Amino acid sequence: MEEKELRGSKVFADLFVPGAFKEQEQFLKVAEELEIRIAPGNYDLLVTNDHKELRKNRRKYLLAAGIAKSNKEAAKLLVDTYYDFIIIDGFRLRRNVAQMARRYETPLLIPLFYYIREEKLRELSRTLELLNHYSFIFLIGSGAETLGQLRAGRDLAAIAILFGLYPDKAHLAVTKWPLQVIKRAEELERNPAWGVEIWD
Amino acid sequence: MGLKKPSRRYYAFLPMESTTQKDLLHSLRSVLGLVDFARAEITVEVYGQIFMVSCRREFLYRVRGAIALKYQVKPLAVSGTRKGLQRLLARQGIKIAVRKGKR
Repeated sequence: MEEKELRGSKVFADLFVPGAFKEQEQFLKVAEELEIRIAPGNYDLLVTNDHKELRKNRRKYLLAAGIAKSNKEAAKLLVDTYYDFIIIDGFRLRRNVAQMARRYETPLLIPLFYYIREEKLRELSRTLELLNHYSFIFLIGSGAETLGQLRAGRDLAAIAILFGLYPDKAHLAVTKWPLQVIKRAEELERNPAWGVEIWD
Repeated sequence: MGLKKPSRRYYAFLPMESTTQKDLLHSLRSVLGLVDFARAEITVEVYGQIFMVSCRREFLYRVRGAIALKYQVKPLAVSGTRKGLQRLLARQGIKIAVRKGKR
């Protein structure tokens, strides 16, 4: 069953590659070789925690994200509907934040190399184990700051599985769910009034 | 009655940075730990620039994760048999002469 899941989708997306803000072309080249789409690069991404800046520049970018350095900050950012996803900056996720993410339908992104670089492997393992028990969208990204930290989609999923995430969820977190976030953002962008959903 | 599912997996990849068979085995051993490393029954073979790792089926994800943790690699193919792997690689235009199995 696990293998069937892994064979399903072939489009992989890594929505948070901080290194690509500086050297976008080189990152795009490597990403193409690894058959993965990245943000920033393939998709425009605005990363800010400043609410004023976010509201001012939101329409210029396809995706917007905030970086949470603690559970408290994550809870604060999750309330803002302007964000497409919230990046968890290497801390152990608490249950109440996961519940909030589910309620506000804002995905959380786990940048694997943020945890690995700072040797917070226990926090990563606990966070991924917690995510196993919630039925909401979350994303797995590399959080690559150098070219060497960029990984192929299945490899990102494999690292997450190594740290305790279920294989089916790991695969969805690098294929279907990021594409859902992008699709949602594209639909919002097409609307005449940003952020207003038009029902037929 | 279908065919028996192969109990092993063969995974071929191309490392983006240079490495050796020994280094790869060392890193797998350090990430997986002695017990899992022994239980996974890992073997590594090198065909030019392409590496082929075989392990027990249930350890494939962990082995791939352990490789990806240290090395940036381009995954090429995964198969249950050597012959299958050879065919999948041939489809991508890569020809390797895999050695025969135990039989």
